[in-house]
Amino acid sequence: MFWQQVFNGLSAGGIYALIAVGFSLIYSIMRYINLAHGSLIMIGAYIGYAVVTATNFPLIPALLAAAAGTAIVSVIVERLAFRPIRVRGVSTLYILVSSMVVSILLQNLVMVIFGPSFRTLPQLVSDVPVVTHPINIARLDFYMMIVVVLSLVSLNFVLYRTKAGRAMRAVSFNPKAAALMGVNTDRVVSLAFALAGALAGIAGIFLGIKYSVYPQLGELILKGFVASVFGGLGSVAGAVVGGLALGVIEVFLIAYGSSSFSPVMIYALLVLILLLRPRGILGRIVEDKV
Amino acid sequence: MSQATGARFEFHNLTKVFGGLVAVNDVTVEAVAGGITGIIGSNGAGKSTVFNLISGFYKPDAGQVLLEGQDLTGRQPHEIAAAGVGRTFQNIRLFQGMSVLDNVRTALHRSLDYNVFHALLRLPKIRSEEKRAEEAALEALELVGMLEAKELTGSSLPYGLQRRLEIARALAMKPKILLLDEPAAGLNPGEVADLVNLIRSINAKLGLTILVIEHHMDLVASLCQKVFAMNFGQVIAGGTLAEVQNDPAVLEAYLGKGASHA
Repeated sequence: MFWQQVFNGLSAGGIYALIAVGFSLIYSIMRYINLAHGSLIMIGAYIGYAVVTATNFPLIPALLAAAAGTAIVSVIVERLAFRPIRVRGVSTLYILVSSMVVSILLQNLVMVIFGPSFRTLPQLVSDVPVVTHPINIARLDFYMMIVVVLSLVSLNFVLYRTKAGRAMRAVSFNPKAAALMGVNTDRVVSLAFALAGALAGIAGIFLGIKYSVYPQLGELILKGFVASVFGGLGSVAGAVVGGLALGVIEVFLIAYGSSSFSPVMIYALLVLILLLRPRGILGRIVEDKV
Repeated sequence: MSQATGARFEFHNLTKVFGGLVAVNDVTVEAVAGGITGIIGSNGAGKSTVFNLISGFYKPDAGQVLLEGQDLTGRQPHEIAAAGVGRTFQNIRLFQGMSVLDNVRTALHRSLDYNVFHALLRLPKIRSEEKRAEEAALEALELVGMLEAKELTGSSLPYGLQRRLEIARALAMKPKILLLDEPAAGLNPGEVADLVNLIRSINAKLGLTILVIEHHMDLVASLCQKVFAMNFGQVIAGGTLAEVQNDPAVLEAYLGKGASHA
Protein backbone atom coordinates (compact mmCIF):
# COMPACT_ATOMS: atom_id res chain seq x y z
CA MET A 1 0.00 0.00 0.00
CA PHE A 2 2.76 2.39 0.97
CA TRP A 3 4.74 1.87 -2.24
CA GLN A 4 1.58 2.02 -4.27
CA GLN A 5 0.97 5.49 -2.87
CA VAL A 6 4.54 6.51 -3.55
CA PHE A 7 4.12 5.41 -7.15
CA ASN A 8 0.81 7.24 -7.52
CA GLY A 9 2.40 10.32 -6.02
CA LEU A 10 5.37 10.24 -8.37
CA SER A 11 3.08 9.72 -11.32
CA ALA A 12 0.99 12.80 -10.46
CA GLY A 13 4.15 14.65 -9.43
CA GLY A 14 5.76 14.01 -12.80
CA ILE A 15 3.08 16.11 -14.48
CA TYR A 16 3.45 18.84 -11.84
CA ALA A 17 7.16 18.73 -12.56
CA LEU A 18 6.59 19.30 -16.29
CA ILE A 19 4.37 22.28 -15.49
CA ALA A 20 6.76 23.69 -12.90
CA VAL A 21 9.84 23.21 -15.08
CA GLY A 22 8.35 25.18 -17.97
CA PHE A 23 7.21 27.89 -15.63
CA SER A 24 10.60 28.03 -13.88
CA LEU A 25 12.48 28.06 -17.16
CA ILE A 26 10.74 31.25 -18.19
CA TYR A 27 11.20 32.77 -14.77
CA SER A 28 14.89 31.96 -14.59
CA ILE A 29 15.62 33.46 -18.00
CA MET A 30 13.20 36.36 -18.10
CA ARG A 31 12.72 37.12 -14.40
CA TYR A 32 9.01 37.48 -14.87
CA ILE A 33 6.12 35.25 -14.04
CA ASN A 34 4.07 34.00 -16.93
CA LEU A 35 0.53 33.60 -15.65
CA ALA A 36 -0.54 32.40 -19.10
CA HIS A 37 1.42 29.20 -18.59
CA GLY A 38 -1.71 27.52 -17.21
CA SER A 39 -3.69 28.39 -20.30
CA LEU A 40 -0.96 26.81 -22.39
CA ILE A 41 -1.56 23.55 -20.53
CA MET A 42 -5.24 23.85 -21.35
CA ILE A 43 -4.43 24.65 -25.00
CA GLY A 44 -2.25 21.52 -25.12
CA ALA A 45 -5.13 19.42 -23.87
CA TYR A 46 -7.48 20.88 -26.48
CA ILE A 47 -4.97 20.46 -29.30
CA GLY A 48 -4.59 16.84 -28.22
CA TYR A 49 -8.36 16.44 -28.06
CA ALA A 50 -8.90 18.03 -31.49
CA VAL A 51 -6.13 16.02 -33.13
CA VAL A 52 -7.26 12.71 -31.66
CA THR A 53 -10.95 13.18 -32.43
CA ALA A 54 -10.23 14.39 -35.96
CA THR A 55 -7.56 11.88 -36.96
CA ASN A 56 -7.69 8.99 -34.50
CA PHE A 57 -3.96 9.38 -33.93
CA PRO A 58 -2.49 7.06 -31.33
CA LEU A 59 -0.80 8.43 -28.21
CA ILE A 60 2.64 9.32 -29.50
CA PRO A 61 1.66 11.38 -32.57
CA ALA A 62 -1.03 13.05 -30.46
CA LEU A 63 1.61 13.94 -27.85
CA LEU A 64 3.92 15.35 -30.50
CA ALA A 65 1.09 17.36 -32.03
CA ALA A 66 0.09 18.78 -28.63
CA ALA A 67 3.71 19.61 -27.78
CA ALA A 68 4.41 21.25 -31.14
CA GLY A 69 1.09 23.13 -31.25
CA THR A 70 1.46 24.46 -27.72
CA ALA A 71 5.08 25.43 -28.37
CA ILE A 72 3.93 27.52 -31.33
CA VAL A 73 1.14 29.17 -29.32
CA SER A 74 3.64 29.88 -26.54
CA VAL A 75 6.09 31.57 -28.93
CA ILE A 76 3.29 33.63 -30.48
CA VAL A 77 2.09 34.75 -27.04
CA GLU A 78 5.60 35.92 -26.17
CA ARG A 79 5.98 37.76 -29.47
CA LEU A 80 2.65 39.56 -29.29
CA ALA A 81 2.06 40.08 -25.59
CA PHE A 82 5.43 40.13 -23.80
CA ARG A 83 8.15 41.16 -26.24
CA PRO A 84 6.79 44.62 -27.03
CA ILE A 85 6.73 45.35 -23.29
CA ARG A 86 10.15 43.83 -22.69
CA VAL A 87 11.97 45.79 -25.41
CA ARG A 88 10.61 49.01 -23.99
CA GLY A 89 12.41 48.10 -20.78
CA VAL A 90 9.51 49.00 -18.48
CA SER A 91 8.59 47.24 -15.24
CA THR A 92 7.93 43.51 -15.46
CA LEU A 93 4.68 44.22 -13.63
CA TYR A 94 3.21 45.13 -17.02
CA ILE A 95 4.22 41.72 -18.32
CA LEU A 96 2.53 40.09 -15.35
CA VAL A 97 -0.69 41.92 -16.16
CA SER A 98 -0.32 41.15 -19.84
CA SER A 99 0.14 37.45 -19.09
CA MET A 100 -2.99 37.47 -16.95
CA VAL A 101 -4.92 39.03 -19.79
CA VAL A 102 -3.56 36.48 -22.27
CA SER A 103 -4.60 33.72 -19.90
CA ILE A 104 -8.19 34.95 -19.74
CA LEU A 105 -8.21 35.58 -23.47
CA LEU A 106 -7.07 32.05 -24.34
CA GLN A 107 -9.58 30.56 -21.94
CA ASN A 108 -12.43 32.49 -23.51
CA LEU A 109 -11.22 31.77 -26.99
CA VAL A 110 -11.36 28.06 -26.28
CA MET A 111 -14.78 28.51 -24.67
CA VAL A 112 -16.02 30.13 -27.89
CA ILE A 113 -14.58 27.43 -30.13
CA PHE A 114 -15.27 24.29 -28.08
CA GLY A 115 -17.94 25.42 -25.63
CA PRO A 116 -17.75 25.32 -21.85
CA SER A 117 -18.54 21.61 -21.46
CA PHE A 118 -16.18 18.90 -20.21
CA ARG A 119 -14.89 16.66 -22.96
CA THR A 120 -13.20 13.31 -22.75
CA LEU A 121 -10.47 12.09 -25.00
CA PRO A 122 -11.07 8.72 -26.66
CA GLN A 123 -9.22 5.97 -24.87
CA LEU A 124 -5.64 6.14 -26.13
CA VAL A 125 -4.08 3.71 -23.70
CA SER A 126 -5.42 0.29 -22.79
CA ASP A 127 -6.76 -0.35 -19.30
CA VAL A 128 -4.59 -3.42 -18.81
CA PRO A 129 -1.99 -2.63 -16.14
CA VAL A 130 1.68 -3.14 -16.89
CA VAL A 131 2.14 -5.15 -13.70
CA THR A 132 -0.16 -5.83 -10.78
CA HIS A 133 2.36 -7.17 -8.32
CA PRO A 134 3.90 -5.97 -5.99
CA ILE A 135 2.13 -2.75 -6.94
CA ASN A 136 -0.40 -1.97 -9.58
CA ILE A 137 1.09 0.09 -12.40
CA ALA A 138 -1.55 1.43 -14.76
CA ARG A 139 -0.44 1.58 -18.37
CA LEU A 140 -1.24 5.28 -18.67
CA ASP A 141 0.81 6.13 -15.58
CA PHE A 142 3.63 3.99 -16.88
CA TYR A 143 3.71 5.75 -20.27
CA MET A 144 3.30 9.08 -18.57
CA MET A 145 6.35 8.50 -16.42
CA ILE A 146 8.42 7.45 -19.40
CA VAL A 147 7.40 10.58 -21.30
CA VAL A 148 8.10 12.80 -18.29
CA VAL A 149 11.56 11.30 -17.83
CA LEU A 150 12.32 11.55 -21.55
CA SER A 151 11.17 15.18 -21.66
CA LEU A 152 13.23 16.17 -18.64
CA VAL A 153 16.31 14.32 -19.89
CA SER A 154 15.99 16.02 -23.29
CA LEU A 155 15.56 19.40 -21.64
CA ASN A 156 18.62 18.77 -19.52
CA PHE A 157 20.57 17.79 -22.63
CA VAL A 158 19.54 20.96 -24.44
CA LEU A 159 20.31 23.19 -21.44
CA TYR A 160 23.69 21.71 -20.51
CA ARG A 161 25.08 20.10 -23.64
CA THR A 162 24.21 22.41 -26.51
CA LYS A 163 25.09 25.93 -27.49
CA ALA A 164 21.42 26.92 -27.42
CA GLY A 165 21.23 25.80 -23.80
CA ARG A 166 24.44 27.58 -22.94
CA ALA A 167 23.08 30.70 -24.60
CA MET A 168 19.89 30.37 -22.54
CA ARG A 169 21.84 30.06 -19.32
CA ALA A 170 24.04 32.98 -20.36
CA VAL A 171 20.97 35.13 -21.04
CA SER A 172 19.57 34.15 -17.65
CA PHE A 173 22.72 35.47 -15.96
CA ASN A 174 23.32 38.53 -18.10
CA PRO A 175 21.37 39.30 -21.25
CA LYS A 176 23.58 42.21 -22.28
CA ALA A 177 26.81 40.29 -22.04
CA ALA A 178 25.19 37.38 -23.86
CA ALA A 179 24.20 39.68 -26.73
CA LEU A 180 27.77 40.86 -26.84
CA MET A 181 28.94 37.30 -27.23
CA GLY A 182 26.92 37.14 -30.43
CA VAL A 183 23.87 35.54 -28.84
CA ASN A 184 20.61 36.65 -30.42
CA THR A 185 18.68 37.13 -27.19
CA ASP A 186 15.29 37.42 -28.91
CA ARG A 187 15.80 34.03 -30.47
CA VAL A 188 16.90 32.54 -27.15
CA VAL A 189 13.74 33.88 -25.53
CA SER A 190 11.62 32.36 -28.30
CA LEU A 191 13.34 29.03 -27.83
CA ALA A 192 12.73 29.12 -24.08
CA PHE A 193 9.05 29.82 -24.68
CA ALA A 194 8.90 27.02 -27.25
CA LEU A 195 10.41 24.56 -24.77
CA ALA A 196 8.16 25.69 -21.92
CA GLY A 197 5.18 25.50 -24.27
CA ALA A 198 6.06 22.00 -25.42
CA LEU A 199 6.30 20.81 -21.81
CA ALA A 200 2.97 22.47 -21.03
CA GLY A 201 1.43 20.77 -24.06
CA ILE A 202 2.62 17.36 -22.91
CA ALA A 203 1.36 18.00 -19.39
CA GLY A 204 -1.94 19.20 -20.87
CA ILE A 205 -2.68 16.16 -22.97
CA PHE A 206 -1.93 13.81 -20.07
CA LEU A 207 -4.13 15.81 -17.73
CA GLY A 208 -6.79 15.71 -20.43
CA ILE A 209 -6.54 11.93 -20.67
CA LYS A 210 -6.46 11.40 -16.91
CA TYR A 211 -9.22 13.81 -16.00
CA SER A 212 -11.03 15.55 -18.81
CA VAL A 213 -10.65 18.50 -21.11
CA TYR A 214 -12.32 21.74 -20.05
CA PRO A 215 -11.56 25.46 -20.38
CA GLN A 216 -10.53 25.85 -16.72
CA LEU A 217 -8.00 23.04 -16.89
CA GLY A 218 -5.29 25.69 -16.77
CA GLU A 219 -6.09 26.36 -13.14
CA LEU A 220 -3.90 23.37 -12.38
CA ILE A 221 -1.02 25.82 -12.93
CA LEU A 222 -1.46 26.57 -9.23
CA LYS A 223 0.11 23.17 -8.58
CA GLY A 224 2.95 24.19 -10.84
CA PHE A 225 3.42 27.43 -8.86
CA VAL A 226 3.47 25.52 -5.60
CA ALA A 227 5.89 22.94 -7.00
CA SER A 228 8.29 25.55 -8.30
CA VAL A 229 8.24 27.44 -5.00
CA PHE A 230 8.82 24.17 -3.14
CA GLY A 231 11.81 23.44 -5.30
CA GLY A 232 13.07 26.99 -5.52
CA LEU A 233 11.70 29.46 -8.03
CA GLY A 234 13.92 29.76 -11.05
CA SER A 235 15.73 26.49 -10.50
CA VAL A 236 14.89 23.91 -13.14
CA ALA A 237 16.20 21.00 -11.06
CA GLY A 238 14.30 22.39 -8.10
CA ALA A 239 11.10 22.42 -10.12
CA VAL A 240 11.48 18.71 -10.80
CA VAL A 241 12.12 17.92 -7.15
CA GLY A 242 9.29 20.24 -6.07
CA GLY A 243 6.85 18.68 -8.55
CA LEU A 244 7.60 15.12 -7.46
CA ALA A 245 7.52 16.07 -3.78
CA LEU A 246 4.19 17.83 -4.23
CA GLY A 247 2.69 14.80 -5.99
CA VAL A 248 3.78 12.41 -3.25
CA ILE A 249 2.71 14.68 -0.39
CA GLU A 250 -0.66 15.21 -2.01
CA VAL A 251 -1.32 11.51 -2.53
CA PHE A 252 -0.32 10.71 1.04
CA LEU A 253 -2.53 13.45 2.43
CA ILE A 254 -5.44 12.03 0.49
CA ALA A 255 -4.68 8.38 1.31
CA TYR A 256 -4.03 8.84 5.01
CA GLY A 257 -5.93 12.04 5.67
CA SER A 258 -8.85 13.32 3.70
CA SER A 259 -9.19 14.57 0.16
CA SER A 260 -10.97 17.73 1.23
CA PHE A 261 -8.28 18.54 3.73
CA SER A 262 -5.37 17.94 1.36
CA PRO A 263 -5.42 21.33 -0.44
CA VAL A 264 -5.54 23.12 2.91
CA MET A 265 -2.45 21.23 4.04
CA ILE A 266 -0.65 21.84 0.73
CA TYR A 267 -1.15 25.59 0.90
CA ALA A 268 -0.31 25.66 4.59
CA LEU A 269 2.92 23.89 3.71
CA LEU A 270 3.55 26.46 0.98
CA VAL A 271 3.18 29.30 3.46
CA LEU A 272 5.49 27.49 5.86
CA ILE A 273 8.15 27.07 3.18
CA LEU A 274 7.87 30.71 2.20
CA LEU A 275 8.40 31.67 5.84
CA LEU A 276 11.21 29.27 6.67
CA ARG A 277 13.05 28.72 3.44
CA PRO A 278 11.86 31.16 0.79
CA ARG A 279 14.41 30.01 -1.74
CA GLY A 280 12.94 26.51 -1.71
CA ILE A 281 14.75 23.20 -1.72
CA LEU A 282 17.27 23.89 -4.48
CA GLY A 283 16.76 27.57 -5.26
CA ARG A 284 19.63 29.96 -5.60
CA ILE A 285 19.50 33.35 -4.03
CA VAL A 286 19.29 35.83 -6.80
CA GLU A 287 21.44 38.85 -6.29
CA ASP A 288 20.99 41.77 -8.59
CA LYS A 289 23.92 43.91 -9.47
CA VAL A 290 23.50 47.39 -10.79
CA MET B 1 45.47 33.30 -34.71
CA SER B 2 47.51 36.42 -35.40
CA GLN B 3 46.50 38.91 -38.00
CA ALA B 4 48.96 40.53 -40.37
CA THR B 5 47.71 44.05 -39.68
CA GLY B 6 45.19 45.26 -37.17
CA ALA B 7 41.71 46.24 -38.32
CA ARG B 8 40.87 49.83 -39.17
CA PHE B 9 38.24 51.17 -36.84
CA GLU B 10 36.75 54.61 -36.68
CA PHE B 11 33.55 56.41 -35.81
CA HIS B 12 32.47 59.77 -37.13
CA ASN B 13 30.29 62.48 -35.64
CA LEU B 14 28.59 60.14 -33.15
CA THR B 15 25.80 61.91 -31.31
CA LYS B 16 23.40 60.67 -28.67
CA VAL B 17 20.77 62.73 -26.90
CA PHE B 18 18.93 61.49 -23.80
CA GLY B 19 15.92 63.71 -23.25
CA GLY B 20 17.44 67.18 -23.24
CA LEU B 21 20.96 65.99 -22.41
CA VAL B 22 23.48 65.66 -25.20
CA ALA B 23 25.48 62.75 -23.77
CA VAL B 24 27.69 62.32 -26.81
CA ASN B 25 28.15 65.26 -29.12
CA ASP B 26 29.67 64.91 -32.56
CA VAL B 27 32.45 62.57 -31.46
CA THR B 28 34.96 61.42 -34.06
CA VAL B 29 37.71 58.95 -33.20
CA GLU B 30 40.05 57.05 -35.46
CA ALA B 31 41.72 54.13 -33.68
CA VAL B 32 45.33 53.22 -34.35
CA ALA B 33 45.10 50.11 -36.56
CA GLY B 34 46.81 47.28 -34.73
CA GLY B 35 47.63 49.61 -31.85
CA ILE B 36 46.08 50.76 -28.60
CA THR B 37 44.00 53.93 -28.49
CA GLY B 38 42.80 55.50 -25.25
CA ILE B 39 39.74 57.57 -24.43
CA ILE B 40 40.10 59.55 -21.23
CA GLY B 41 37.84 61.96 -19.43
CA SER B 42 36.11 62.49 -16.13
CA ASN B 43 33.00 60.61 -14.99
CA GLY B 44 29.99 61.56 -17.05
CA ALA B 45 32.08 62.76 -19.97
CA GLY B 46 30.25 60.26 -22.20
CA LYS B 47 32.97 57.64 -22.62
CA SER B 48 30.88 54.59 -21.74
CA THR B 49 28.01 55.96 -23.79
CA VAL B 50 30.37 55.96 -26.78
CA PHE B 51 31.09 52.26 -26.20
CA ASN B 52 27.39 51.53 -25.81
CA LEU B 53 26.75 53.30 -29.11
CA ILE B 54 29.48 51.26 -30.81
CA SER B 55 28.27 47.94 -29.45
CA GLY B 56 24.65 48.62 -30.29
CA PHE B 57 23.06 48.97 -26.85
CA TYR B 58 22.11 52.52 -27.81
CA LYS B 59 21.20 53.69 -31.27
CA PRO B 60 23.11 56.83 -32.26
CA ASP B 61 21.04 59.88 -33.19
CA ALA B 62 23.69 60.78 -35.72
CA GLY B 63 27.06 59.55 -36.91
CA GLN B 64 28.62 56.44 -38.27
CA VAL B 65 30.60 53.49 -36.90
CA LEU B 66 32.99 51.89 -39.39
CA LEU B 67 34.96 48.67 -38.98
CA GLU B 68 37.27 48.07 -41.93
CA GLY B 69 35.01 50.40 -43.87
CA GLN B 70 31.93 48.30 -43.03
CA ASP B 71 29.10 50.38 -41.60
CA LEU B 72 27.91 48.97 -38.25
CA THR B 73 25.76 51.92 -37.24
CA GLY B 74 22.47 51.06 -35.57
CA ARG B 75 22.76 47.27 -35.80
CA GLN B 76 21.76 44.84 -33.04
CA PRO B 77 24.39 44.06 -30.36
CA HIS B 78 24.70 40.42 -31.40
CA GLU B 79 25.22 41.43 -35.03
CA ILE B 80 27.88 43.95 -34.08
CA ALA B 81 29.60 41.31 -31.96
CA ALA B 82 29.47 38.91 -34.90
CA ALA B 83 30.98 41.56 -37.17
CA GLY B 84 34.09 41.54 -34.97
CA VAL B 85 33.62 43.96 -32.09
CA GLY B 86 34.54 42.41 -28.74
CA ARG B 87 34.15 44.30 -25.49
CA THR B 88 34.39 44.17 -21.73
CA PHE B 89 32.35 46.14 -19.22
CA GLN B 90 33.28 48.63 -16.54
CA ASN B 91 31.24 46.67 -14.00
CA ILE B 92 32.11 43.10 -14.85
CA ARG B 93 29.31 41.19 -16.53
CA LEU B 94 30.16 37.54 -16.30
CA PHE B 95 27.72 34.67 -16.42
CA GLN B 96 28.20 34.34 -12.69
CA GLY B 97 26.82 30.87 -12.08
CA MET B 98 28.52 29.27 -15.05
CA SER B 99 31.99 27.73 -15.12
CA VAL B 100 34.95 29.67 -16.48
CA LEU B 101 35.04 27.34 -19.47
CA ASP B 102 31.32 27.74 -20.17
CA ASN B 103 31.65 31.51 -19.89
CA VAL B 104 34.20 31.45 -22.69
CA ARG B 105 32.37 28.81 -24.70
CA THR B 106 29.32 31.06 -24.82
CA ALA B 107 31.43 33.47 -26.83
CA LEU B 108 31.77 30.82 -29.53
CA HIS B 109 28.00 30.69 -29.97
CA ARG B 110 28.11 32.16 -33.45
CA SER B 111 30.95 30.05 -34.73
CA LEU B 112 29.39 26.72 -33.78
CA ASP B 113 27.92 25.15 -36.84
CA TYR B 114 24.83 23.38 -35.58
CA ASN B 115 21.30 24.41 -34.71
CA VAL B 116 18.45 23.12 -32.66
CA PHE B 117 17.45 20.60 -35.32
CA HIS B 118 20.92 19.13 -35.35
CA ALA B 119 20.60 18.96 -31.61
CA LEU B 120 17.61 16.69 -32.09
CA LEU B 121 18.87 14.61 -34.95
CA ARG B 122 22.62 14.64 -35.41
CA LEU B 123 24.37 14.05 -32.16
CA PRO B 124 27.89 13.33 -33.54
CA LYS B 125 27.91 16.72 -35.23
CA ILE B 126 27.22 18.41 -31.92
CA ARG B 127 29.94 16.46 -30.22
CA SER B 128 32.57 17.43 -32.77
CA GLU B 129 31.49 21.07 -32.81
CA GLU B 130 31.42 21.24 -29.01
CA LYS B 131 34.88 19.70 -28.94
CA ARG B 132 36.07 22.44 -31.27
CA ALA B 133 34.44 25.05 -29.03
CA GLU B 134 36.19 23.64 -26.01
CA GLU B 135 39.57 23.79 -27.76
CA ALA B 136 39.00 27.36 -28.89
CA ALA B 137 37.86 28.31 -25.38
CA LEU B 138 40.94 26.73 -23.83
CA GLU B 139 43.10 28.62 -26.32
CA ALA B 140 41.53 31.91 -25.20
CA LEU B 141 41.97 30.99 -21.53
CA GLU B 142 45.61 30.17 -22.15
CA LEU B 143 46.08 33.57 -23.75
CA VAL B 144 45.07 35.24 -20.47
CA GLY B 145 46.80 32.62 -18.32
CA MET B 146 43.67 31.15 -16.79
CA LEU B 147 43.82 27.54 -17.93
CA GLU B 148 44.01 26.10 -14.43
CA ALA B 149 40.85 27.98 -13.36
CA LYS B 150 38.65 26.52 -16.10
CA GLU B 151 36.38 24.47 -13.84
CA LEU B 152 35.74 27.22 -11.27
CA THR B 153 32.50 29.17 -11.21
CA GLY B 154 32.66 32.75 -12.49
CA SER B 155 31.39 34.25 -9.25
CA SER B 156 34.02 32.44 -7.14
CA LEU B 157 36.95 34.18 -8.84
CA PRO B 158 38.80 37.14 -7.34
CA TYR B 159 38.10 40.43 -9.06
CA GLY B 160 41.34 40.51 -11.06
CA LEU B 161 40.64 37.09 -12.54
CA GLN B 162 37.03 38.00 -13.32
CA ARG B 163 38.41 40.86 -15.38
CA ARG B 164 40.78 38.49 -17.14
CA LEU B 165 37.96 36.07 -17.80
CA GLU B 166 35.94 38.85 -19.36
CA ILE B 167 38.86 39.59 -21.66
CA ALA B 168 39.27 35.89 -22.51
CA ARG B 169 35.58 35.71 -23.32
CA ALA B 170 35.85 38.68 -25.65
CA LEU B 171 38.95 37.21 -27.31
CA ALA B 172 37.31 33.85 -27.89
CA MET B 173 35.05 35.53 -30.44
CA LYS B 174 38.19 36.30 -32.47
CA PRO B 175 37.21 39.95 -32.65
CA LYS B 176 38.77 42.39 -35.09
CA ILE B 177 38.76 45.09 -32.44
CA LEU B 178 38.55 44.96 -28.67
CA LEU B 179 36.86 47.61 -26.53
CA LEU B 180 37.99 47.68 -22.91
CA ASP B 181 35.78 49.78 -20.62
CA GLU B 182 37.86 50.86 -17.61
CA PRO B 183 39.72 47.55 -17.32
CA ALA B 184 41.70 48.72 -14.28
CA ALA B 185 38.62 49.78 -12.28
CA GLY B 186 38.63 48.13 -8.87
CA LEU B 187 42.02 46.47 -9.29
CA ASN B 188 44.93 46.85 -6.87
CA PRO B 189 48.29 48.20 -8.15
CA GLY B 190 49.76 44.71 -8.60
CA GLU B 191 46.73 43.60 -10.60
CA VAL B 192 46.93 46.76 -12.71
CA ALA B 193 50.56 45.96 -13.59
CA ASP B 194 49.56 42.42 -14.58
CA LEU B 195 46.72 43.80 -16.63
CA VAL B 196 49.02 46.20 -18.49
CA ASN B 197 51.29 43.29 -19.39
CA LEU B 198 48.33 41.19 -20.46
CA ILE B 199 46.87 43.87 -22.73
CA ARG B 200 50.25 44.56 -24.23
CA SER B 201 50.93 40.88 -24.92
CA ILE B 202 47.48 40.38 -26.47
CA ASN B 203 48.05 43.40 -28.66
CA ALA B 204 51.48 42.14 -29.71
CA LYS B 205 50.50 38.50 -30.23
CA LEU B 206 47.26 39.10 -32.08
CA GLY B 207 47.97 42.45 -33.68
CA LEU B 208 44.53 43.38 -32.38
CA THR B 209 43.23 46.94 -32.60
CA ILE B 210 42.32 47.92 -29.03
CA LEU B 211 40.30 50.86 -27.78
CA VAL B 212 40.43 51.49 -24.05
CA ILE B 213 38.51 53.81 -21.75
CA GLU B 214 40.47 54.52 -18.62
CA HIS B 215 40.92 56.83 -15.65
CA HIS B 216 44.13 55.18 -14.65
CA MET B 217 46.79 57.43 -16.22
CA ASP B 218 49.66 54.97 -15.64
CA LEU B 219 47.82 52.40 -17.71
CA VAL B 220 47.07 54.90 -20.46
CA ALA B 221 50.66 56.17 -20.43
CA SER B 222 52.20 52.73 -20.74
CA LEU B 223 49.79 51.35 -23.33
CA CYS B 224 48.23 53.97 -25.59
CA GLN B 225 49.86 55.29 -28.73
CA LYS B 226 47.07 57.78 -29.21
CA VAL B 227 44.69 59.36 -26.73
CA PHE B 228 41.42 61.25 -27.05
CA ALA B 229 40.16 63.38 -24.18
CA MET B 230 36.42 63.82 -23.70
CA ASN B 231 34.53 66.39 -21.68
CA PHE B 232 30.75 66.97 -21.55
CA GLY B 233 30.17 64.56 -24.42
CA GLN B 234 32.71 66.09 -26.76
CA VAL B 235 36.23 65.23 -27.81
CA ILE B 236 38.31 68.21 -26.71
CA ALA B 237 41.75 66.97 -27.71
CA GLY B 238 43.48 64.10 -29.51
CA GLY B 239 47.08 63.02 -30.01
CA THR B 240 49.83 61.45 -27.92
CA LEU B 241 49.24 61.44 -24.17
CA ALA B 242 51.82 64.22 -23.71
CA GLU B 243 50.13 66.37 -26.34
CA VAL B 244 46.72 65.81 -24.84
CA GLN B 245 47.88 66.46 -21.29
CA ASN B 246 49.31 69.80 -22.35
CA ASP B 247 46.36 70.80 -24.47
CA PRO B 248 44.86 74.08 -23.17
CA ALA B 249 41.31 72.74 -23.48
CA VAL B 250 42.21 69.68 -21.38
CA LEU B 251 43.97 71.74 -18.76
CA GLU B 252 40.99 74.02 -18.58
CA ALA B 253 38.58 71.10 -18.24
CA TYR B 254 40.59 69.48 -15.47
CA LEU B 255 42.04 72.40 -13.61
CA GLY B 256 39.71 75.26 -14.40
CA LYS B 257 40.01 78.39 -16.46
CA GLY B 258 43.34 80.12 -16.23
CA ALA B 259 45.29 76.96 -15.57
CA SER B 260 46.73 76.96 -19.06
CA HIS B 261 48.29 80.36 -18.49
CA ALA B 262 49.87 79.35 -15.23
